Amino acid sequence: MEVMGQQPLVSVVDDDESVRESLPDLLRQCGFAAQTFSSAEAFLASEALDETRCLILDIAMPGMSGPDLQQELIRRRHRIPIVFITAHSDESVRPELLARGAAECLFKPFSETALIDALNTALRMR
Amino acid sequence: MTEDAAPFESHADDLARLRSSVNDLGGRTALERVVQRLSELVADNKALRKQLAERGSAEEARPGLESQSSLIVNSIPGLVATLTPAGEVELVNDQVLQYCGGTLREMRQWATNGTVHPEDLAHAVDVIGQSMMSGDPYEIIERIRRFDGVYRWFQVRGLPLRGSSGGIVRWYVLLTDIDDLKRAQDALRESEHESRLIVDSIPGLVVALAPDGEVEFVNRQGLEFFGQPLEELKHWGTNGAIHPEDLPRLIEDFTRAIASGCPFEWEVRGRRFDGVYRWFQSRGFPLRDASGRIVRWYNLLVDIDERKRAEEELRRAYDSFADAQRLSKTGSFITDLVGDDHNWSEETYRIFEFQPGTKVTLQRIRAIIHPDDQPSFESMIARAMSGGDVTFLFRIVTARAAVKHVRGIAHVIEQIEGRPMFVGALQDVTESMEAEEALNKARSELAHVARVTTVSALTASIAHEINQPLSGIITNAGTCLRMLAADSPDIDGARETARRTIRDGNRASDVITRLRALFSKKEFALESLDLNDATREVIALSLSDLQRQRVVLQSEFADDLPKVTGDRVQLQQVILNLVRNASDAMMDVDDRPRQLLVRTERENGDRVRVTVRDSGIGVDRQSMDKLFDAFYTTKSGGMGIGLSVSRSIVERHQGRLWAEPNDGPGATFSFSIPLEPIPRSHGQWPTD
Repeated sequence: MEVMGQQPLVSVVDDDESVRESLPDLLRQCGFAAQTFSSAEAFLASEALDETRCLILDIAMPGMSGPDLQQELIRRRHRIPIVFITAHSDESVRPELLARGAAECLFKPFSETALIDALNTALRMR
Repeated sequence: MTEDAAPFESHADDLARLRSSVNDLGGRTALERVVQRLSELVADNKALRKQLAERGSAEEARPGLESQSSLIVNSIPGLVATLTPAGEVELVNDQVLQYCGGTLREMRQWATNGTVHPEDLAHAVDVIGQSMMSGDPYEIIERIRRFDGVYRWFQVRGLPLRGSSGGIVRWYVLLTDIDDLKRAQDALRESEHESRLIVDSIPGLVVALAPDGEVEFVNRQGLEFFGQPLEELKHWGTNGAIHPEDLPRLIEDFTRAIASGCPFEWEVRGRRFDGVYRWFQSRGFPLRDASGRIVRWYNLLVDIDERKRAEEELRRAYDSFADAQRLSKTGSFITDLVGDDHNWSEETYRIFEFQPGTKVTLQRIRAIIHPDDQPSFESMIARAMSGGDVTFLFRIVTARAAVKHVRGIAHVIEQIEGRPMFVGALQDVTESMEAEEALNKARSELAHVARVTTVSALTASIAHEINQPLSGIITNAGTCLRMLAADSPDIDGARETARRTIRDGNRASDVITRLRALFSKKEFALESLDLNDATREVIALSLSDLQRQRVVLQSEFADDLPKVTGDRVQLQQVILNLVRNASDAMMDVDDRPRQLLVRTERENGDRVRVTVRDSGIGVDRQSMDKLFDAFYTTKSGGMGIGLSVSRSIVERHQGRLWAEPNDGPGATFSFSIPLEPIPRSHGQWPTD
């Protein structure tokens, strides 16, 4: 999990406050550095864009959605592995997102085991 | 017997000829008497001569012959003269002398002394002259002067008396006073002319027929109308002048009329000169002579075409009116309420299921009024009795136990002897009442479905709502365990995660509570509610969504907002619908704040208005009304039920829901409802 002794940065992009509150602590407990953003636009405008090793991305957000952000990153040739998380229970979105190159798509509420597995998958995707 | 005597015997032939050649211009009777008398005289003469023969004195007879002639001639009750074969007056009888008032000598001067009217003289002289030469009997119509100077018309007939040799011995001239006759004739001709004028000026067609039915006369109008000459009109039975459909009946009726001699009347179509058939009313009456025999049939035809066509139109209109009554289940009535006299149309009988044509009484009607509606029926009757217009809606229970809703109106048209006369219409509105009930039931079902559907369309955000705190709980709990399991446990951190867990748990619980309230199906439950409170609750429910959507919410609640009577949940449904729509409308707005304004205010004294205003993409005027149509949606994935259901809820509260574009971006949706819904029919609150 640790690369070069530095904690890899995991950016959490989710409009939900409780997610932004709870995830970073878990991530840090797991040895990651964590930053949170309440919107995709905020993330794109930040310096974390270049440093993010993995993105935990909400699907449905006002403004630019998760999949929109995925498209934008592809366009900008930022190959950041993405773990999608969503509170919507529509399972049909998962295959499509994976086909577009997402590392994983998790449905809230997800266990921390599931999250850690997804992160590992994502980091292996370089 | 001598030559003189013998001619008297040949008188018989003369008499016969005389009789047969007499003109029958009314002088018949007089002349017949003359002839009769002459034959009597001839008979007497015969007898006399027989006597003389018996006495054997022919000579005695001869001189008496002259005087006998004059005796005979004088005894004839008419004017008689004799002429010589040359045409000179030989003898005139006393009647002539009395009439002319002159002497025999003067009579002999008739051709010159003015006895004969100057205008007629030339003709008379001429005719007589010719007869003298030809020996043929003559006849002249001339005026002869009376003793008082007045000229009178006479028919003068001259008959030659031939001797046994064939030569004319003398002329017998009979003068018959035909003055009265002639005047009568002239008068008749005058009056006939006058009649014709009258007959031609009658605004109708006059046809005169002989007793056997043959057309004798058609007046000017008739000839002009038919456009045929009299000769052709005689063949009215075959030449198409009468419409073929009417012809058989006409012939039958006319035949019967001729046989019975009774006046007749019928309606028949006659063909105009241009081929067009027009309706006529035909009246025929017989003209009888003194003995009662029918001399002529007069037939007067009056053009009733327009009236007839109007009648047909009226009948057709009435039929279609009756049809319209039947189709629309509308019956009409004319009623004298005080006198209990009811005149009902067929449809009214049908609605009440009374036998058509039977007598209708108030008692009969009362007997089938639904028990629950009897009080209001009686008060309506009382109002009507006092002379006021009334509207009514009541139920009847018919003979076959069917319950019908009857709605109607009665209007006073006039007062007769202090009693109001009503004309009115009523309608069987059972179907539409039942349909309305069914519709309301369906609407409330739909509203329920819509709530459910809307909410299931909200499933994303509901799942969202609940999954968010759940996810937070699980993540926090997991973090908590990790923190506690670390080599040096992070107690503060663990405490924080525990706190967040509790908070998220509560959040989830709140969501469920709010959603449960929204899910429950209720009947239209009226209560007195404060719309400010109701709106605040809706806003609280939507707050998280609105915040997530970065919607800036502003509220303006009227301070003095009166309470309204309505269904709390349903009205909140409406407000929620409007708020969500407003939020959705601003979903793609980035260049300006997403402003949502919710306002309550009092309107017009007895109404309350709730307004939801957004700064979203707005609505164009054309689509404004379509917005409220069921299944019309501008959102992909939307079901388009929300606004139509909202509107129907508002309308059930007797309010209205409408939309307007803003001056700036976005739209404003408002609804206003009265403080109290007015009780509808049967004095009951509207129910599902």
